[in-house]
Amino acid sequence: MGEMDEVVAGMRDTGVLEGMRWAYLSATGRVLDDYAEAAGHDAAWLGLTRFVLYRDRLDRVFSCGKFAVPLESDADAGLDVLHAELTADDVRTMPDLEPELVSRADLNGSPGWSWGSWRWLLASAAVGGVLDLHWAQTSATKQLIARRVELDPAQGSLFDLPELDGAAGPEGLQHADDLETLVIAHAQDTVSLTVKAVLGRPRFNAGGGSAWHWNYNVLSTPPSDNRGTRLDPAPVVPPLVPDAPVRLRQPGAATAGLRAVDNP
Amino acid sequence: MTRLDASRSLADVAATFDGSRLTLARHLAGLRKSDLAGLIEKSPTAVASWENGTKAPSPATVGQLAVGLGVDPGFFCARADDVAHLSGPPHFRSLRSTTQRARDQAAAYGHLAVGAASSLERHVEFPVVDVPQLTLTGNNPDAGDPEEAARMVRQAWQLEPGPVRHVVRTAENHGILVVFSRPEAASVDAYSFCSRLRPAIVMNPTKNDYYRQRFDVAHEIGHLVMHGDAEPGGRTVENEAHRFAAEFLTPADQIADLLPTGMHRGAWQQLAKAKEQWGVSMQALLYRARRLGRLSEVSYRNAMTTVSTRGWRRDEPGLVKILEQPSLLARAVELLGASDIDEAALMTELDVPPELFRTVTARGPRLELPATLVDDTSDAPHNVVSLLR
Repeated sequence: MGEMDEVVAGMRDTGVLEGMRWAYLSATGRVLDDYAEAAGHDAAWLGLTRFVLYRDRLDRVFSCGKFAVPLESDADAGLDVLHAELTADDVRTMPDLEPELVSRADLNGSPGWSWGSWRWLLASAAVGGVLDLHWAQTSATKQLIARRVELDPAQGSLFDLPELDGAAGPEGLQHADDLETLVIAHAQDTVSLTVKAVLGRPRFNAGGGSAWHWNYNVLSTPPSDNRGTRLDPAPVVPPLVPDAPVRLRQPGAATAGLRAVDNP
Repeated sequence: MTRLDASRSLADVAATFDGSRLTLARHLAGLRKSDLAGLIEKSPTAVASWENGTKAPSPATVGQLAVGLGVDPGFFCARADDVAHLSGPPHFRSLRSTTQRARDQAAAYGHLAVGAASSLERHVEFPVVDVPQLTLTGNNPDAGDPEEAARMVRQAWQLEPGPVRHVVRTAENHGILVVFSRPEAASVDAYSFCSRLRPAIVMNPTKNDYYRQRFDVAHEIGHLVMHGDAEPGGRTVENEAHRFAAEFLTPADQIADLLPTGMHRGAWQQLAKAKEQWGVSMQALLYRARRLGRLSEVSYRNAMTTVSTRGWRRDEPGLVKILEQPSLLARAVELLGASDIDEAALMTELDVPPELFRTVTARGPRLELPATLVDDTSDAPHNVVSLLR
């Protein structure tokens, strides 16, 4: 089994892929709802908003970041917070995933999430360019990620590292974990209403060639039955203060006009 | 299930058919006119004409409408009051994240609850409506501000200085109807509307946090006091209701000295103590501290980061685990029950479908989901689930 098969199978079986898919469709749906060129929104607004909302939706579906729940809390805690500003469709289709399934695992300030020994970061792309990203034009962190396979001593370096702002080399990846880092490249066209999101192992392509060692279309993941139907009633006990004053209008005459269907 | 009341034939219902009741049932079912027309194999134009009263459906069609919508045919009979016509627009938190159908459904649910309360008032007496009306006009500095409105309401309602012991009961004692909504409609957060019959607040049944529920109810009281004529859903209106709630629950002159001036050691204990004393979340108190100038922007931001890290945005630690419970309709049902009028009789009298009757008259949230939500294989043609099934 190749790396892609292993990752995709594991992420599919645990619901991680579905979470990624839900998060992206929810985020891009809201972007589309809010986007108004006539109001002054432009490509920069679109790109930033999509990134911010995708990060938010990933945090929601995986109970990370500000949507984390304390260890001792029920997974259904604060559902109103979790569902705030989501559409009814978003709430209905949100996968019900265990809070500890995925954790935040930022890398050099870039938002990242981890599942098992895998981490993923986000990279924005043009709709037609998701599969043809030029990693040399992305952030220093993603350039280093894209070069990581080549930097693996077991495989040997194919070429020298260029100077990168804010990172001196592979050691510039300031993380103390052993996570293998993948990237989700995502795109949205508000004219054709096309959305794309692929997860994969990036391949540094300054010297030409493919942008990916492998990639998988996140949006092709079929929705599962693991939907967000989590509702847990709050404990209810008798009221601690007296009821509001309610009284029969005319004692003994309350039945006037009422039909007791079981006792005619 | 459709219940047939033998005392009213379809012909009787057709003779007293009220189009506004059809609109109410259609909205509760979450259907467009075209959806309903498709269900009963009639034209959308015909449905529109029945609803606006230009035509009356035949007895057979009344039967089809009742079956299609899941109500007793008697539901369509004319009532003394058309609640929708007598009510202002509901104040929903976000118009962006909810569809028009979801909002129509939520509004219809609120109207149904007010209609039920109004019908019950033939037999019981509820507290007199006593909600001050203070219209704010955003650009008029002399029109007062939300904080002033909150102070005036506290004074008008003769609330003692200090915490509001029970926000729901305070609202009810001044004639406001408070009910929980159905879980199918939980995507629409708490909302409220003014009505010439009785103002109403509808609470989100999935908000299982005592402290945030209290703030929600205070927020909705703010809408009822300040925004009778305001366009709902706007950022300004929502902010004003938020400020009203903060001042109503934690008057500045009483809370300020209890709030931390920095996130030093002991600040969290200070917040936790104030939270329990005033029944307001630590996040709301932090925001209050920031707004009152007790906390700097940096301290506030750092504190909120801590709140996120600890998972407190979704589950803040607090001692009170029970929600405040409404009592008006529940008490009325209990009183009538003691007079040998059981639920079934009341349902027939009020013509409220059983599930909705139990929800509007409940003291706590009822969270059983209908099969259409639990069963994802359902091929329901739309995403607004009927409240009548």
